[in-house]
Amino acid sequence: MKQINSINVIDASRPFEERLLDELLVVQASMNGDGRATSLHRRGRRIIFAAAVAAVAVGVVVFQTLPGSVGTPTSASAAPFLRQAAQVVLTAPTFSEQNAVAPQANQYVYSETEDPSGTLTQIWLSADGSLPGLQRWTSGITGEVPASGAIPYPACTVALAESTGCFPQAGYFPNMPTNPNALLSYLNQIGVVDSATAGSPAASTPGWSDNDLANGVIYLMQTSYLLPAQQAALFTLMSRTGGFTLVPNMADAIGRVGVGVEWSFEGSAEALIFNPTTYALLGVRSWPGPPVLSAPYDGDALLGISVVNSIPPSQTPPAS
Amino acid sequence: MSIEEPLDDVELLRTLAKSPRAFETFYRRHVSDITRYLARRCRTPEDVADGVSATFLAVLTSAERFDPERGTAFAWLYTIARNEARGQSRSAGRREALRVRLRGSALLSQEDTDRLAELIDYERAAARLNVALRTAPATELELLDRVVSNDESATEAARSLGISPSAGRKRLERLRGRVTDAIDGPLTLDHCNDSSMEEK
Repeated sequence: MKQINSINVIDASRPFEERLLDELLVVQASMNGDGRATSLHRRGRRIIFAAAVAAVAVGVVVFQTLPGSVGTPTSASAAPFLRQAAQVVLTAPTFSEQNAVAPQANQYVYSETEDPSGTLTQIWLSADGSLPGLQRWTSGITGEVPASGAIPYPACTVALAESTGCFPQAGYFPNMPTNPNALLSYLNQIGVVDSATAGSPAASTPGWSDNDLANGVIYLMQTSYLLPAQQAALFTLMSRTGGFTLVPNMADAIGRVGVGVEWSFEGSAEALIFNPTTYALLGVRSWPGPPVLSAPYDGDALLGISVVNSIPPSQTPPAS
Repeated sequence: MSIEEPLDDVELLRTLAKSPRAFETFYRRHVSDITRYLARRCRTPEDVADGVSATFLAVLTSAERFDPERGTAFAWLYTIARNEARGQSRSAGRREALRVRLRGSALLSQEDTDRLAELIDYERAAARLNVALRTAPATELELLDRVVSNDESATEAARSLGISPSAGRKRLERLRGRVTDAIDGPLTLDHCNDSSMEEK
């Protein structure tokens, strides 16, 4: 049987839907005994699939990294730097002191970060996560940041994190292994990294392991008290991941120049910035795409981490 | 001069077998939705095109039997499209003969094929995204909502939810992982039955 539409040349200037309408109207005419090809439409109006595009675009917008920062592109692997860091933190003069002040369960780990607008963020985390913590921030001078305020953190111990999936709000992880392989299992166990999903489509996405581990490292290094051996194990893990590149001179959010350890994931880039001598974390920077000099700075600088005995007695937000 | 009220679907279905204008109005009103619907269920642009042509052929040949007492015109149309996608249509006689003669896939230009292939990707990604978001933990969705709806940065969103910026970042990363897994992973849907579109 000959097809109605077995045409050799398709009028590509009009979309399929318009040509189909033509053909359907021919069918309709033939059904009604009318031999004429009745077509009322005269224009090829494109059908716009905006809804479909928008539905996916939501996902794209949602996961764009925050505005970026400055960096000097390099293709040098950061592995040697990270291995060196693992060595240095184990032999630093502060090694004994850092071990000696390991927090007790009833203490708090206090950390301070500052972003480029001058906003100071203070975080108190219960050492073992069994007590509520506190975040307090004071807005910067630009007025472009949220008003000053304070918010309590819910308690979440490591045990609870393992059993309920809450994010551990502990400031100290005494059982964190110092063997890199065991460390990775532990971090998966408490939900700080998600490499256990290896083999899944997400894990096979280029840069997944780098990004996953790096974000876990940020989480730990910005708000937790890490023993030197734990830091060394984290550096070793990063050196084995393979996707980190070195940026020799990278400024943190308050202008301190360090060494950037940069990685890319799904088109965006981030970097951890380390003190080139002590290998302490200085801060974090992000770019929505490849690092460009003109991009506005997004990130924050770590001002310090210490062990304290209490959190501020009042959780009333300070005056703006 | 009065402005003519557009006819509703029930009125159009009553007359469209005989009225080119009614059929064109009905077709234009629904063809993009039906195309998108089939794109979610078909594997190839050709299957989508055949499904669209078969659906509207069925409309032409069955419209007079539409009974508004048994459901809306919209539901009736989607039932036809779903049956076409599943290869479960029970068409026979003249309609089947017409279907064999009018194959949407034969109307596709390369541009149409590319566009429909893209649409299939979009629709399947959207369906998976929907599943991923429906099953994501509330804590991650709260963060997502603040970032999207309130235009907050991840840091701001984390702060307003009482978690540290780094924990917020991790939660968003987790959600991103879920969505990536969902978009790239398997999707259980009724698919076009390729054999149903073949000439018999």
